[in-house]
Amino acid sequence: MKKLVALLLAAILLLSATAALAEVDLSKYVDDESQKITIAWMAGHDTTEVNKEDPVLLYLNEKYNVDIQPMFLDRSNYFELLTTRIMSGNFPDVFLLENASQFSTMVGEEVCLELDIELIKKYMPESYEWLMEYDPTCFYNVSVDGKIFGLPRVNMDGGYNYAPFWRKDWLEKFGYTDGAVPMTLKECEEVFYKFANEDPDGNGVKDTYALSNTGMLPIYGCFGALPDRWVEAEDGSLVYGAVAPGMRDALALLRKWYADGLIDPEFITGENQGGHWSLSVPFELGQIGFSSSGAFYQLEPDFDGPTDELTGKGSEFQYGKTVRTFAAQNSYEDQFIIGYNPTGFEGKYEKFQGGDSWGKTTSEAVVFSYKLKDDPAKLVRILKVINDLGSNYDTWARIYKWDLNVFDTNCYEYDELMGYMPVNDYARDTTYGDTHTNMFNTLQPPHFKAKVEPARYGWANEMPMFHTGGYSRVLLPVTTAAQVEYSGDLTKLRETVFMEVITGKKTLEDYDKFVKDWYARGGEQWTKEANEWWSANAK
Amino acid sequence: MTAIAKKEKAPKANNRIYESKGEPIFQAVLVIIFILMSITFIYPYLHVLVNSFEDPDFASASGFRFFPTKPTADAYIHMFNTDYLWSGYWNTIKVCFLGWALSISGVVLAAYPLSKKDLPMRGLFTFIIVTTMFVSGGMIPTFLLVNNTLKLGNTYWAILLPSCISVSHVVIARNFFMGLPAELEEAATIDGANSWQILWKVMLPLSTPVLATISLWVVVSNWNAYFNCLLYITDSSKYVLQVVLRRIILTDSAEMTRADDTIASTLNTDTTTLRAASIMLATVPILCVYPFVQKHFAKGMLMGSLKG
Amino acid sequence: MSTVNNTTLLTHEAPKHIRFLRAVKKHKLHLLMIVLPILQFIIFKWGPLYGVQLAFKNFKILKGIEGSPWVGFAQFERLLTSYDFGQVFSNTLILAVLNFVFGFPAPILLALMLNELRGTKFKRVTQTISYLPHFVSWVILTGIFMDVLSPSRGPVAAIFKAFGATPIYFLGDPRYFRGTLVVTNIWKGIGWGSIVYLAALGSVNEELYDAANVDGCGRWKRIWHVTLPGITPTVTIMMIMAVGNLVDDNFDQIFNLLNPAVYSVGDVLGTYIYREGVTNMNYSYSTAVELFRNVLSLILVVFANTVSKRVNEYGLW
Repeated sequence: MKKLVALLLAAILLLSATAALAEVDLSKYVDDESQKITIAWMAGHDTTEVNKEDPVLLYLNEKYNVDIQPMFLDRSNYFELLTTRIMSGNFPDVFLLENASQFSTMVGEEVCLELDIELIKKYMPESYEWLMEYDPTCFYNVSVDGKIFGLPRVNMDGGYNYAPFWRKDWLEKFGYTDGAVPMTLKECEEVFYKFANEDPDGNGVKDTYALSNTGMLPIYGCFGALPDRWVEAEDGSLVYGAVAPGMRDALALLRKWYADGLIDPEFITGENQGGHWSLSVPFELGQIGFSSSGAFYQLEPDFDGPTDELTGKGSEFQYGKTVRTFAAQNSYEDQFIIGYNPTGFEGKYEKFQGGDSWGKTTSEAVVFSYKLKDDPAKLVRILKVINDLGSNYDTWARIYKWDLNVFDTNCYEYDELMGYMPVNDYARDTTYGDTHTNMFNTLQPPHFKAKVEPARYGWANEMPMFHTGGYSRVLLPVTTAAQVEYSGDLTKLRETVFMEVITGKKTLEDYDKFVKDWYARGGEQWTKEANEWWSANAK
Repeated sequence: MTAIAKKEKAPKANNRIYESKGEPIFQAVLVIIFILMSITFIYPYLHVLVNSFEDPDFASASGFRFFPTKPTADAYIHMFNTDYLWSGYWNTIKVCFLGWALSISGVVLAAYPLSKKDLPMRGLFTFIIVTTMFVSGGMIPTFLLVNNTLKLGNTYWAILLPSCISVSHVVIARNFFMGLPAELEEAATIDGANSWQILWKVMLPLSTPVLATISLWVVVSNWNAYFNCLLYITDSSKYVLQVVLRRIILTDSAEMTRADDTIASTLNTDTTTLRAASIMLATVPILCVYPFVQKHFAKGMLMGSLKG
Repeated sequence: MSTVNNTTLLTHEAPKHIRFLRAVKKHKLHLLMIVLPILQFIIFKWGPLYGVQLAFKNFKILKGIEGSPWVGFAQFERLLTSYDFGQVFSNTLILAVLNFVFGFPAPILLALMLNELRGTKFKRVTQTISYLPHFVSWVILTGIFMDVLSPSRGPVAAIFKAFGATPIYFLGDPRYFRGTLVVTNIWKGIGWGSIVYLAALGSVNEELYDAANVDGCGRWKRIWHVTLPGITPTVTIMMIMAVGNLVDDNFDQIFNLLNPAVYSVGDVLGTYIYREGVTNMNYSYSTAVELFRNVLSLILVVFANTVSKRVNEYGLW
């Protein structure tokens, strides 16, 4: 019966889709390129207002015969500022929304123009092609009720999942030599017990633990979900991680570990103390031997890349931040090794593996003002500009300023005291952060990024641990009504119960009660809405 | 009037020595307590100072450092090379001065009349003022009023006018005026002074401690304020210091786009060191203001000199 | 005494409107003075007040404040019936009372201590140092406190261990969390908060000190009979306003120090609203919560003011 209904629904959807297709009349979307068009532009975050004389801006204005009026809103209070601008009637033609809740709010408020996919295909053919190639699901993130309300922003770095890292010297003590690392949860558990009980730092005092809070993520991953995000269940529906089938067993394991002294009791206040987000203080201090606090590029080694002629810097980039800070205080080569997200216990869990992952497409969206409904020529021109910025390497390299040769070759001068110092405004901007790049780097084409940073992405591509999948943060990229209503309460409930079950204040029976509570206190409605979106937009 | 001038030269009460047997011991105990407290008060600030000169790889490290492990001035070089830093300082000074003038005159002009118990419509005025402590229309209506109706967008008036008079400051000043002996005013009235003259020549000179306190509050809050500048100012050359500093830090923490790895950067900085340097740049000037204000605290008061 | 007689004349003998006109005439300069400040309040504070209606509406950006649909008390219902409201509300009140009882007298005590101090230079330096923490944000202080209070590596834990005691997890143990909040809050604000009292102390009539000295009063008697009465008006006003701020929790502090282990004692209105509002910008809801909070403040202040006026003559109105 259910299947029949589903089939019927699908048929209706298909019919309405074709009906919509038939209705599409692109004839009014014409653009006379000889006509100069003024565009209020906010399609990305920048760090300062773009100077009207900025060479990048002048170049773009001339190239596309437009007059771009860059708008600038401070990113720390972006949405508040954007809302006041919209209220006052003076807001950009094209602008960025930073996350699912902003997107859902603005679509719900009817501020965003609905886009026809045919329009995108017609005026952004090159970009559409690589977008679909990179992530065929990327338009899910800008869809509501099967309609598209903006352009997705992909994120190349999000395509690499988090991988945990280990204290190499500790592992070596327990037989993992020559770069070997534990690969399964069973192996991890054995090593973890030794980390806690067999004095890996050799100081004769029992003062070490195996892991703290970020290290738990790959452990949850061995049971098929992470507690704070949606996962796709076996039947293809969405289920929230905290109440997913494997969570009870995951908590049972962590609870046992905590009781046995494997988990740093200070995991409650976290590994980070307000410094760079990817830093793990207990790991650096040698209190724990396993952590998963940084993304792949925070773990990268110091490559001997080609020397930059302009800056004289010896490498394309430095160590990732996590590594760099660790290396400053410890012997990096001997003590640090990147590991794998372990695979689950044998039996029903052995297929599960994975840690944190941002997802290939961000939950950001580039949307268009509803006012453009009456100005198809402007809409078409904006699409053309975004397409060119996203698919023409020459333009992209100029605006992203990766290619310092574009405007001026003699950007830097050597100073005895200060090292290489920028000598013109262009280099100053690049050095001191006013890069004016994100505003025009609308689609963030990954293949261009890979081209300018071959060593980094070459390395990441060859490291298999960054390709185990992970659990995406943006599987449900929209915010549903029930989420707005209940998620604050449910988050607190989840965090409290998980913490208390692990530390032994609550029992596993309390977890079972939590699952019931979670559904009763709004989780049921949220799950229902999540699955409605999932079947309408992602299937 | 002459009595006032004479009195001001008299030694200050709190400097006076009242000898007793236990005094030296008491003073010693106090000094020890204050030194211990000062150590805890100084440490966080010292921590920030150390971090501002620290290599980023050590700045996030845990534990106590009283000197940078690997000293570098990169964070400051980065700051000083940023556009709009100096204009930010200048703009902040302008805003602080203008804001101070508006606030202090507003507070005095509201508080002094309200200190007269027989002022007509005093209840109404008090109601209009005190009510705003408890209800506010919120950000959006204020923005629409200032930006769309009054067209004050992109001017410092938009930052200053909506919040220049604080209710609590008015109440404190009014109470202070009420505490001044009525005889002083009466004497001045008999001398033929009108209300302006009384306010200017009698009340204000007597009120230096409370005016100094309110000035300090007003200047420090204007110095630290940034949100209204974000909201109303659209021209980078008009940004106040706090906005410029926040921007530098945000630029550096733009993690998803990895702005901290821009290839041309020769400076070794990160969010922690930049934030530390920005706190130093923002607070050192304002801390220098305090000694000038401080001396007014113990000055001026002679009430009771006529009563006594 | 003449003023009193005049007032009596005005209030009892002439008809109301004549009395009013006379008073206006007498105070015409005072009225002139207050015109501008009152205008400022009317335009910039009362002008946007129509925005309060958002608390009873479902705000739609494109429709504006007037055009948004009415929803009555729905926003308040959501607040009052939400699952954790009871816990959050009682946490807010408990913390407020603790902060008031311990936090309010602390700067007064500091000011009195400074006042007793003799060396002028030492006093000025100490005073300046005491308000340094005011200029360091809670984000940074949180990092420092995590170090200082860490049960495994902090200096406080080292002291505990030296005495053979088990170190306390101040930030992760519900039994100690509120105390930690109150103490760190006092520590941060004590110096800055003492400024107003120092100003008040500067205004105490010095001849009374002389008189007390001549009478042979000891230190404590002098403080009790001269210093304290001298700053009572300021203390009273500050206290009434502090009562009004009771329900305004220290969001920045608590938000940075809060963690799941101490939700049960540390989750307050501010952090609750943040959690509820962070997934979406619900202006109507936050306006409603703000209104709720303000009404509570108003009730508390009216109460404090009435009590204060009974006890001594000082009050906000």
